[in-house]
Amino acid sequence: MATEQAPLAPTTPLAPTTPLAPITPLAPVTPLALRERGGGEGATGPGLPLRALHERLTATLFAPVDPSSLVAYRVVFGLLMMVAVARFFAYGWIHEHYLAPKVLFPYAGLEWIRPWPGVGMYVHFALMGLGALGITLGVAYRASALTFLLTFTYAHLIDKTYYLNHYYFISLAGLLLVALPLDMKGRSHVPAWWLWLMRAQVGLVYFFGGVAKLKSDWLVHAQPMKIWLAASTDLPVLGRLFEQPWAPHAFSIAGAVFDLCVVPALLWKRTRWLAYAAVVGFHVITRMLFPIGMFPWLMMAGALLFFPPDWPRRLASWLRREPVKHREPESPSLPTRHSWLGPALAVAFLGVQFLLPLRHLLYPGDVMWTEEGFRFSWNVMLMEKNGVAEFHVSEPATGKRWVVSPGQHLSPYQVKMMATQPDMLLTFAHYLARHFAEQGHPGVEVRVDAFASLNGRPRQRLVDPTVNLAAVGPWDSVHGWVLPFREVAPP
Amino acid sequence: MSPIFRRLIAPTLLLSLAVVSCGDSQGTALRSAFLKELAGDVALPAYRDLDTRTEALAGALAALEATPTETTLTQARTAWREARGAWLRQEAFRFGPAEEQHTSASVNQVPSTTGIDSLLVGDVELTETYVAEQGANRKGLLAMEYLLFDAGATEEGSAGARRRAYLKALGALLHEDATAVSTAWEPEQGNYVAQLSNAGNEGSPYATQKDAVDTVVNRLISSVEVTEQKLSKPLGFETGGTVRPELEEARRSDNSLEDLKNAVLSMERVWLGASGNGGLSKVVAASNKQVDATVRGDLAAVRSALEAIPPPLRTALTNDRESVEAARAALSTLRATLASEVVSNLGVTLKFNDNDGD
Repeated sequence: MATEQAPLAPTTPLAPTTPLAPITPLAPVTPLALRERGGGEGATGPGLPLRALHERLTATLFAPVDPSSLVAYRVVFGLLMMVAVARFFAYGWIHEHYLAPKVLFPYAGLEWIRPWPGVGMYVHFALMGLGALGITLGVAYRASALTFLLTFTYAHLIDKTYYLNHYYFISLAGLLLVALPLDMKGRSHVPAWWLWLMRAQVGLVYFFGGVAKLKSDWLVHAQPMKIWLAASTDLPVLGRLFEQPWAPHAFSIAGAVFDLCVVPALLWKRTRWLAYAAVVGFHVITRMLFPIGMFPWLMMAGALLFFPPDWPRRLASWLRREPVKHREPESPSLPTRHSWLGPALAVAFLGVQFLLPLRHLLYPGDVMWTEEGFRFSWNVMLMEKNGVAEFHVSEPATGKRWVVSPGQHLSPYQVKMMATQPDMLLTFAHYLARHFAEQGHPGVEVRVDAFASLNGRPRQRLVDPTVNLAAVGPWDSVHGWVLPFREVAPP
Repeated sequence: MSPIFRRLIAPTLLLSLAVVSCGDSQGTALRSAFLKELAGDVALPAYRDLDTRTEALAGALAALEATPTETTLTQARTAWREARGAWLRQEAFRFGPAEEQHTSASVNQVPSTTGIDSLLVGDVELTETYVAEQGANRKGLLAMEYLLFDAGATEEGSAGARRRAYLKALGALLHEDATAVSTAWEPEQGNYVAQLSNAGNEGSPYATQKDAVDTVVNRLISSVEVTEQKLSKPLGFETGGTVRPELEEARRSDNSLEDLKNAVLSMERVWLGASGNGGLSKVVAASNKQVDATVRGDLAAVRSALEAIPPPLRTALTNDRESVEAARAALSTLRATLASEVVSNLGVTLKFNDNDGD
């Protein structure tokens, strides 16, 4: 069993031998003197020299670490992605998601991303599978990772109907796999920031998953947990547990605490195993309750990155009953200014991801109702929202009117997903305006009767039925046509 | 293993054991009772009734073929209406055997009048075997309606004889379809009653009770939508508002309003149970009485809106359009309640496809 070990290079030569020259009375240090010695602006005195911080940061970020855990993650990620691609073929999702629909729901500004004609999408997914295979084997690594990233992301940007948080995670992780040459050609060690970047990527999912749960529905009313648990009381053993009146509250609180605390707990040696057991338990239970595909396996694999980086090597040695073999790090060279480009980009990459889940704070209204800023924000399994929508088309010139059931144009799954997502309702209204124009009815007005029930509440009207959605632009604010959420306590 | 972890294992396990060994299982018992009632007291009697009434229809059509008189024609038409009613009274729970056997396609397909006419004017003997080989739009209740509710049903000569032979074959085939479904539900035969009642247990096609409840709710919603369309289409809602009487489903027999009322009866039986005091209502009310009350109100509103349409629907479409629109609106409201509030409160997965979630 792997345990925490001492850093491979605790006194790395990366750290200058005399980073902090002793300050003697003979050499009084003034702020100016500090700046001249590279201390930089803002230094407040000899207690917090920026140079020292810089050097410590350098030592921390560029310390050579065993790449085993990163490589293991790469292999597992590749294998999981091969399974994911196989599922698309096996379940007929390529046809169902990309070829069968008459209408697509593209992301604003990305309308040019469309399914390939003919067998193109099947070739596309075959290439995706090859990319995943290359990632697994480390063969033609960069090209494979790039192929996987581009094909996967392209496919999942075609129609927002199929947006899933774990697809977003896969694209982000795929980007990191492209950026970090984890085929390890010519390397025995990697800089520590690579590992921390991957850990941060996994950690962000949990952290913002937890932040999203800090809502009264989740914490006070235990919704939608009450609904979810009540639907599965016949599960063996756990079903009885689910029926206890306190269970939804306990599960809700535990879920939020888990999401918020699991990363620190994984980072702390004393709680790491307990935290990992919680990770496994959490994802196994969610897998039992919901059809969430590869997500549990991805996260269970990702959480292993928080173990000491040589855990695969230790595991292999333990299995072979051999002593652990450690490779000595090659003599590291001092990081140059160029070396900081990677960490700087990583910080920017993580910074964007840190801000994206918070963008909904800029918009008025409840994010679960308006769904403005809902995607790409790790709102994972957060609500039970269902609705219906019926469109009313009228032609002012002739007085003709039509009632359009979305099922006449959309796949059943598109109907379900669109019914509760205002931007998709708008997209469909625009489609109807175009469709009727093609049928010889230009200039029609499109309105919608859309209702949704959030976390078991009585349904409310989602969209103002008097607004002609054909006249609302895709970039227009939703306020003015999405009706505000009327707060009613959930059951 | 860290000391904290070691220290927490035992209490956690003990607590878990204590928890799972106590407490009742009200939700499971409620769903179990509902599924048992739906299978044994609602669906099974409905399919037995369909079997009986299609048998009676087949007999009446054979009698018409043997002795084509106004009396036998009236008897056949009455038998058709009764079989039609029995078919509609299973609409809201038409899943399982009927779905697997594609019964709806063979029983309730919109007829191809040109296809049926071509068979009538042909030379090939219209035996049961020959008719069985024909496409679905030349068979079933609506093809029968086209043949039976026509002045030619008792006419003399070859044309009338061919029409009656065709009807006799259709009656026999319909009864075979109904028997196949009924047999699949029968406890002594296919025993789908037990498969549905025991959802979540070995031998059931439903891995969990939730799967079974999901199936029931999805079918219920679908039946409401289909019923709604039976008014939307002739109202011209899909065609610019101009009434389209030719899109009324059972216009030749003027049976459309009865069709709708029977379909609503099947919805009521799913929601309220055979006795009117059970059904899905009990399951929902256990967690949210308000939603149950809303559905009950919606169902009552649909029924009164349908009763308010002056028959036949054919004339009401033009002479009393408001009443027809009101009934459609009532169905739309019921569908909205089911697809939003009921689905949300039961945690139902709308079975549109098997795509992953978050």
